[in-house]
Amino acid sequence: MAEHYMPRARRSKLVVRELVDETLVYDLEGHRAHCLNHTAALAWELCDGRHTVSRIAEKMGARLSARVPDEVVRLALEQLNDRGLLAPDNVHPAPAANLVSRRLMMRRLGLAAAVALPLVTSIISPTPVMAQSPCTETSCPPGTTCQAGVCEPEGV
Amino acid sequence: MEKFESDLQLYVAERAPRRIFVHAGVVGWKGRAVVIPGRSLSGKTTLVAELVRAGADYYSDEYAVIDRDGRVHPYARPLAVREGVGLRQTRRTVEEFEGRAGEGPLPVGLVVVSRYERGASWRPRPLTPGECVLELLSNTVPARRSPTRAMSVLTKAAAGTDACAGPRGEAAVVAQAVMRSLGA
Repeated sequence: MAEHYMPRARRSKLVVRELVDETLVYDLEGHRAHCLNHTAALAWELCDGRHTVSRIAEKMGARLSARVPDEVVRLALEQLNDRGLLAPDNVHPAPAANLVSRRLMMRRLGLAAAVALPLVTSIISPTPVMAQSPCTETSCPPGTTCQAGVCEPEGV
Repeated sequence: MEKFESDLQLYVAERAPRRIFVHAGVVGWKGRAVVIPGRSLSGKTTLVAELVRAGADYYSDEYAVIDRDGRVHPYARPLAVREGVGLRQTRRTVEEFEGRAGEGPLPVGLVVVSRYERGASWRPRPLTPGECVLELLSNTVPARRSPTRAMSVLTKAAAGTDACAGPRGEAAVVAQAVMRSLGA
């Protein structure tokens, strides 16, 4: 089944900004922002629902002038899927065994691959109050507690 | 009164139509802005004060106010220094730090993502431009209200700048390193 899987990227309700070697994606529904490195961005771009994982790997290889193993594409898809960047009706059917061996796979690919491993870095977009950054229950120094955004001595 | 002032500031920071407010400390040095994004108690004001003592112009210890061209404008309110019992905030003028406030808008020259950790050595790792935008965005007040505009402005601000991240120890050490990296 997995070899016939043709991943399709989610394109709706996203703000996309392309940088020189990265792609930034803001998810307007989940209020998360993602930074896709070049390899992850290329895989995402090629997820058009018409190509299998192997075909995507071939196309990436042609673009990068290097052999790209299928595992690199799967690693990208796993991260894209986790971040909600694949179409919801097009879930990646990765067997659980792949997830268990991910670290080993990354180590192996890290040594063997001529291209950078795909990487998606993500943040939760802050609410205004989060960005305003009052203290929290856990951020005040010992002997003080957070009261109305200020660290006050305990017992006051 | 303090709470009212804080709420009013937040209201303006979230709704300003022609600026993006990022929670950050800012100084100016040799025509470039050093932006230090971070939440409360991350040590922004302490680092800003050290940079000012080292000769940088004071822009803000609270917000990087960024226009649509990615330039940072002064927001030079007195520094909110935490001192005394409970680390209550006290406002101190830039002159008390033997410094002066910057005047015009500046392009961003360096973004420093750092949080104070007792005993930490300053060994920052470089950030990619994309990572830099994410760090700025995670401290941006209107990130959810105006994500498209924020992404556009922050991408311009981060274009061509250096950025680094890591825990820091004493602010004076980092201030010297930052000034050196900018050609002091």
